[in-house]
Amino acid sequence: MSEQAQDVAPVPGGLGSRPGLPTLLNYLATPLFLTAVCVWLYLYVQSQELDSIEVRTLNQEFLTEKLREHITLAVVATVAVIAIAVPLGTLLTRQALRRLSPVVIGIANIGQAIPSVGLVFFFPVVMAQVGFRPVLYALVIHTALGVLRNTMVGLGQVDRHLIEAGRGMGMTKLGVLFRIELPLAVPIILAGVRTALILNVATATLGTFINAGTLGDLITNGHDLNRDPVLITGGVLTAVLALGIDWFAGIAERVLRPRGL
Amino acid sequence: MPSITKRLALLPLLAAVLVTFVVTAVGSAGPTATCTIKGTAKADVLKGTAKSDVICGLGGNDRINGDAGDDAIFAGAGGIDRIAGGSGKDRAVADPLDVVATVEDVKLTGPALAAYNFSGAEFTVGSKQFTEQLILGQITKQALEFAGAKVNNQVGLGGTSVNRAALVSGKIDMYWEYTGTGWIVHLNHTQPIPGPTAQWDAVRKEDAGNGITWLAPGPFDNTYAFAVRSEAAGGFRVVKLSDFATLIRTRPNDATVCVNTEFSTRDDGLPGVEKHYGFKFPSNNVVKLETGLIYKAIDDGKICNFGITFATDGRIEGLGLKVIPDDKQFFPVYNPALNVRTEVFNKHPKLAGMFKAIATDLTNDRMSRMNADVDIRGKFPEEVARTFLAGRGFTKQRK
Repeated sequence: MSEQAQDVAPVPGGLGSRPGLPTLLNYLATPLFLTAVCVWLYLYVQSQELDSIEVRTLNQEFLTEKLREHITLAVVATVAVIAIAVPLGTLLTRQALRRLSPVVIGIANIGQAIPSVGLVFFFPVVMAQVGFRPVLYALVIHTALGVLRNTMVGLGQVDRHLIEAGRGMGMTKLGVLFRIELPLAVPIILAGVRTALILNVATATLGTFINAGTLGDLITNGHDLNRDPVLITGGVLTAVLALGIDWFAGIAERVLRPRGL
Repeated sequence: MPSITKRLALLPLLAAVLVTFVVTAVGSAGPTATCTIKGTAKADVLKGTAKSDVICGLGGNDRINGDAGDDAIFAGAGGIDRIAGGSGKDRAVADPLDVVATVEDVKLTGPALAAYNFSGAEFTVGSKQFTEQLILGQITKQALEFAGAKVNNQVGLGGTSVNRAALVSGKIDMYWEYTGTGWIVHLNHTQPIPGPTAQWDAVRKEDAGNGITWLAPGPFDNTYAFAVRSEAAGGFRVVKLSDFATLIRTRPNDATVCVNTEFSTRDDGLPGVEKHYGFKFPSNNVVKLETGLIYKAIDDGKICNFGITFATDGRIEGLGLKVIPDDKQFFPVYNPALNVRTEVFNKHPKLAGMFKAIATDLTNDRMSRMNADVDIRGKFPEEVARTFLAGRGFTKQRK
């Protein structure tokens, strides 16, 4: 395999990167840090005298709605990406379809090469669609490649001897795939999924431009109207969300990773 | 530089021809046929009597005083003349460089900007990224270059906050800002001040403390305007903003409106409109889009029937949109004025006169047409700015 897996190394601040530290602290470092950031943000906003423009966005109802929109978009997009890219990647590494993989990778490359803003604006302009769905499409097109490639690389790096041993033991091809190949590829596939998740959280902010709300509403609003508390709240919450979701994904990765690896 | 000297050298000749022409024209129509008082050589000191004199200062650098009576004064012929009309209704024909006082009707000869000389000066001109700002930036750049200055071109620098930050920190020396934007965005007020002059005055006074000088504003008003596609305008029976109340009550599903995020939260935006007019769009019918997408969305009519636009945007004409009049005068004024760093302005106070003349010429019609020239007719902002400056007599003799 000539392709390199994306971001196989754990993200700094994530899990499993500091074997020397006590496990509990290892688990809690990120949430503690994020909580501290949120407390700081809360105190900062409280200390500001908010004018009527800022109050329209910096209130519980608005923030909850934007957070909900943001999380829904990022999570649904990532689930869709997994549902599309992992089976597709698996298919493309099977003997019969392996010839097609350069073509599919090429198409997926185009998806990732288009700037995300362009993708987000494509559907409203061309198909007169706005809101949740066009942003979802844009996110999926934009992040599917990473997961697809990591799936293919992950499956490709499985030791051929193990597969042959499995076949020799009388396992079917499908059995080898599900009991040997996929479990051994999980760490690399999950690394791709984590990257997609973070990309989706970040890119979902662009949803603000086409009526999908998200925390991007706060960022553009704070920027356009020169209201720092609004801008900072939007930016910090997006970052906290990305790191928080990555932390969850880290735990999921640890749970799903086959023992002994 | 050489082009300026060449132009200045040509000026006396040009003015002389013109003076001769005007003298003949006035002479044949007016009560007196020829000059009653006439200078011969250079630097004459001419003084009118109590009657309606026709004073002709030839040769340049004259001091002409009309004194009492309705005088006609022809300074012309190069040099810097000093003209004082005195009492009575006086008329004068002068070069742009002449110093003219108490004359009721002054006709300038030659390009108006020839009166300004910024040779040796260097300015950095910024602007925002949308069409109108690119044109204003180009007008500024070309006017300063015509007056001999060296201009570092930062036209199209970035958004509102980028330009403001660049101006405050001294990375650029000037850019055009709108009075309403200065007041609400940069000075962080929530309520606009009614009336163009009052709004400009308020923003000018307060921003002086930030080291920024607001030059005289232009008359065009790039305020918010609700628009609808013309072919559907009649069907909704919304001919003025207050008609929305009926539409929302009787056909709420048709009352869909596209706004940008900013408009949905500012006091002089949607919350204010709804309060002022006493209606409320169903919250599901408010679609928040990026500003550039709104025009097409209104034109399509699939995403929304109505939308917020900027009054002078060329796409209103280009897409055939119909602006819905603000019949209860809610929207604040957004007049353009060149913002100059006070430090730069103090070194070059003549910027005020030059850009007052230009700003005064920027009417709603002219600005909308220039925007449409770029957005619809595909011209370049540079070209549109050049045509404006020449056509309005700033860089060329007005026909």
